[in-house]
Amino acid sequence: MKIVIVGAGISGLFTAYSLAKMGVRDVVVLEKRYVGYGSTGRCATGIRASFTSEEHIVLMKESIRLWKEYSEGELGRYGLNFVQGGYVWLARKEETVDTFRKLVALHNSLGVPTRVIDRDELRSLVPPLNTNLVAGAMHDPMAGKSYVFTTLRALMKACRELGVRIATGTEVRKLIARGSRIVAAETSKGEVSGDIFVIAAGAGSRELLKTVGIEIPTKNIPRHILTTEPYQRAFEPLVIDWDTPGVPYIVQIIEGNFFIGRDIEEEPEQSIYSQRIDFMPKALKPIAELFPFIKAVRVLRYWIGYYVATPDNHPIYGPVNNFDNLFIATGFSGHGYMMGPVTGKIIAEWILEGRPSIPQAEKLTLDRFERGALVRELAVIG
Amino acid sequence: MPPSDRRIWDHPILVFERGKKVRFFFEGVEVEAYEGESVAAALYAIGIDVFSYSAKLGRPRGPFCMIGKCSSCFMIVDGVPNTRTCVELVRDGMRVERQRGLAPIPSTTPPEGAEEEVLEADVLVIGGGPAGLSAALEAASYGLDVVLVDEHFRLGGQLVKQTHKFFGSKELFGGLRGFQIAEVMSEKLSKMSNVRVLLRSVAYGVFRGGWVGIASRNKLYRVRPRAVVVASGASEQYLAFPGNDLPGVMGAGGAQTLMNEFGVRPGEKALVVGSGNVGLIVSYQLLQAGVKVVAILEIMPSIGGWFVHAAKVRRYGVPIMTSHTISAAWGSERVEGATIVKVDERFNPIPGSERDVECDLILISVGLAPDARLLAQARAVMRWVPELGGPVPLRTIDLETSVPNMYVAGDASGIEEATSAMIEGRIAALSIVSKLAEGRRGVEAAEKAKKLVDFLWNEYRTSPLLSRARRGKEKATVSHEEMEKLRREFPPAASFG
Ligand SMILES: Cc1cc2nc3c(=O)[nH]c(=O)nc-3n(C[C@H](O)[C@H](O)[C@H](O)COP(=O)(O)OP(=O)(O)OC[C@H]3O[C@@H](n4cnc5c(N)ncnc54)[C@H](O)[C@@H]3O)c2cc1C
Repeated sequence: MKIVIVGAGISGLFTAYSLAKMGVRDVVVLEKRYVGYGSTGRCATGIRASFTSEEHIVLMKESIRLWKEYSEGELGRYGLNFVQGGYVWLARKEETVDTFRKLVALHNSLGVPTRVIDRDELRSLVPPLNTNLVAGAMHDPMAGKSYVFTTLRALMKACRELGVRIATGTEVRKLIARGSRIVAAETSKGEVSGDIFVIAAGAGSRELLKTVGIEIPTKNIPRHILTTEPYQRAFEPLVIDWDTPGVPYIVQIIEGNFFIGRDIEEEPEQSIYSQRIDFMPKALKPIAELFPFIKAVRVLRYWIGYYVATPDNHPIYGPVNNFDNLFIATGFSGHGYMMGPVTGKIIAEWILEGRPSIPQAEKLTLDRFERGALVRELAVIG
Repeated sequence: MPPSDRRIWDHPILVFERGKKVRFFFEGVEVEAYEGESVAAALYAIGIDVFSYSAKLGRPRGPFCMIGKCSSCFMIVDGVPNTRTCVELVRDGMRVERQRGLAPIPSTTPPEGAEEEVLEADVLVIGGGPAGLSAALEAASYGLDVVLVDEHFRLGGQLVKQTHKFFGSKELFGGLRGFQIAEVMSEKLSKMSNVRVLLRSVAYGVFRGGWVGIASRNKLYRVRPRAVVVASGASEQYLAFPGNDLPGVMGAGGAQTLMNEFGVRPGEKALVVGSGNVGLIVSYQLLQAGVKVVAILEIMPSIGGWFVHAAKVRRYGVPIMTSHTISAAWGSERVEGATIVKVDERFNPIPGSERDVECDLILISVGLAPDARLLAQARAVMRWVPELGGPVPLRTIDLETSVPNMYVAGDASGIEEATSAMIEGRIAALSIVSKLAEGRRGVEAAEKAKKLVDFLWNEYRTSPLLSRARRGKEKATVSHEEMEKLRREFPPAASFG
């Protein structure tokens, strides 16, 4: 059996890895540019399970378990590193602390151990933080981070050792269908045939699926992010400035740089090479209020990546109606890096065993949009 | 504490007029320097070799490029880590410390964030070397408002360290030495009221809508010029060999900055790697500065640079060893010697031919790489041109790139030399003037540009000495029609005008 995966981002590579681990000998990953070119190489590296839908929470908890397991095994030896440094949400307003309390109750009921913490605890978790501006905070000790490039390198190495072929510089221009089967992918370097096709092409998925008449309701939304120079470890958690519009965040990645992001209003599909002069001040000002040292730190780079967003902000997983051998893994709406391990696992199970071992994943197939069965958020906050 | 003073007081052709004494603290101990010196030059002058210890392996590091292009001279200055000490002026009372591994986050922070200002300009010139200065002068002489930025604390770029006399006519500054040309141009510029010069300022990006961001000390400028000239120069290439990060391994240009600009002897006994013009000229300048040159190594079977320059150093008995390269540098906190090796026709080391030489300075002069990063970021269509030192933007004959009204000139357009850089700067500016200036002046500028283009290609570059660069520049130059096609196929991220 030959399995063709389109896209060498975190989803495509973990899918290839899981398939190979489950014994599939013939896996090929087709990537239009280079490994990590899509959203994966542009992400903030954060990993957490503190969400507000059962689907997300169950999947993310399993993903975190796998991140840990992988970091202690073969992938860990190849450089994959998971640091359980936690997430911290800051409240600038008193009312927000009440919202945090409600969230904590929900998380706890689903087995995610978040807590509301006071300023003293906050100071010990995030020493350089100016806590004068903060009314309270929520802490998720289960969350963490993993440096993208060491993770991708580890995955590439492990995949190749297991016989997976990764063809970079190979763009899939269209899928070729015969009846209810996809028979080949037409690429910039010729046709690639296969028995099973997995579309994990991130922002490129929608256009590609159109070539066989499948419409997916995703929008590619540009998200801006910058990095500073690296420094000695100053704090571990990813810190979110919850009460500031656009929700600025800062995380000191494993390599020591500070990644800082903030959502600014953007038209979907706008080019990722069109940087904006207002982004850096907008992201840095609120963060510098909270972390005064940032004013003396240099920015090294600023880039843009897409959030591939669905109407209910949950991924599109699994098989599609009309085709017997086509699977999708995209639409992560900004959370696909953390989901990588679980994505790989359930897609591989779906292909090899007919269904995923996590039943909640089955609620995330493409037909939910036709059926009007969008994912239900258990609490709407903010 | 300082064991030695490496300042040169006696030089056959240069006079170093040192400013007033400045006192600052190095690792808590008071040291002396002279006004106008960079922190790196001042520390080097008093015998400091190790500026930092590397982030991961804790290896000693010293300065390499001396012009703000690399990260070798990072130190903690007044509590702020990762400060490039080669482009930081000495100040009374400043505190300078070695950085050991990754630094802790800054301990002192400015009370305020950076102030912001919007600048108005017709033309933004990025880089104040020969190309940028020429472009700014030319554009300003037609009455256009010009903003000139440079990350260094002084204008002149690489002219500042060029001590040889230029060839050519008076219009091309023939007969003057490089640093004198820099002085003449800077002086002229300072008298023009329509030119604003921003030093210690980095043009950090090109943004949607044709904005350019400039980061100065505690000030952020944004400007939306009608045209841009990128004249950001080049940086020195590294060479891979064990020990290449030891203090005392330096770029040839870095050594020139030390001895020609600041009057500081870069070492006592030098090994020079690369016999192109830069390698040959720097060797001669080392001799003038009283440094012994052990040998010049050249991996090719023949000398790379011009005969005149090779003859000069040979006269002093410096061996130029062709088909030789460096295979290792050794030493603990500074270079103490190097292993050199002969290579075969395919440049592979010949086993058994290794030889150790004693030296405390290894200068790398294996070429320069154009610094065209800003153009690449703006999505100008780039091409790898080996003759020009690496990736350069494609451009029309009047130096406009595929980003409309974004021009390139000088080494950023491909490595050549200072006179062609000045001519390119003027061509770019004149082409801009021909579009922006009304009526007769515009026509006049267009004619002048045409004449310069003609002179550059049909006279100046016909010299066999420039044949390689000429070949490269031909490869990087496309017709106006081809450029239009490129723009349609590869739309730029922004445009000007
Ligand atoms: C600024 C930012 C911050 C983020 N922060 C986080 C975070 O902290 N945590 C988190 O979990 N997520 C985060 N995300 C989201 C995360 O990056 C994505 O959800 C995730 O990387 C998606 O991975 P993927 O493999 O599905 O897609 P991608 O990484 O986009 O991979 C798809 C690949 O497919 C290739 N491709 C596309 N079309 C074709 C084609 N036709 N033929 C061949 N190849 C093709 C692309 O080149 C690409 O390499 C962030 C995203 C951004 C932009």
